[in-house]
Amino acid sequence: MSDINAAGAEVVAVSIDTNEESARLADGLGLEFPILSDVQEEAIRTWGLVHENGKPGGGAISRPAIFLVEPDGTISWRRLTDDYRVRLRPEELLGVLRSTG
Amino acid sequence: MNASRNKFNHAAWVGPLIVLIGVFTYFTVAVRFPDLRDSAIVNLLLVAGGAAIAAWGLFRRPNWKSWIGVGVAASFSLLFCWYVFVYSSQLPDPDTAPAIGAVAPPLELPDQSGRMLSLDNFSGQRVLVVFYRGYW
Repeated sequence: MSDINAAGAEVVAVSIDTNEESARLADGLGLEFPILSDVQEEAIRTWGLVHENGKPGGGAISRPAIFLVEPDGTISWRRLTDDYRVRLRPEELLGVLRSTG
Repeated sequence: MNASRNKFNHAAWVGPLIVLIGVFTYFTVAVRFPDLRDSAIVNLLLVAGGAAIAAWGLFRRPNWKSWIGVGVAASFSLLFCWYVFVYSSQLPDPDTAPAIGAVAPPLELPDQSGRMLSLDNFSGQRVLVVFYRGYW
């Protein structure tokens, strides 16, 4: 995490969990970055990331997705996995940050 | 009295047990190790091995215990393979998401402490916006 900050980026996470659930998650894992709570599914709809019925038992969730937003507000890199079991590795992310930063 | 008929068919329960261990340890152990998680190879091998043992048990002793063993082993193996090869890839169309070069859509939501936060709060900084499935 401090490596990401050292590479010049802040991290903001977003999920459809309530802020209580996210607070528990952050406490449990010792996370220091903000976790935004998109209970109303506004952001995941605006960002086009809705995975309808992705939640076991029904309900929309976000597909896993990472965007790098530059200071001017444009997206310079993104990763939308095509298999949610397969996630971005920290080393790869740091490589992206260092090579584009 | 046929001794071999009374002997318990170990393959009938060892096979399904190995399959269940393979499935269970994917979600409890392998998910913590990126290589094991992404390829799922260790768990797929366990599941395949367990199913093979159950099938071998049925071949050796075609009785009802063996059939149950094969049934359980085959159901969980197929379910796990379906999860690994089909289900986890069933994601929506990526083209609806903002493309590289596009302006990031607005993002303003409460964080875990209830404080409103927006992308505008990070002026002058690069921000990694990470959407995740959540823990429900």
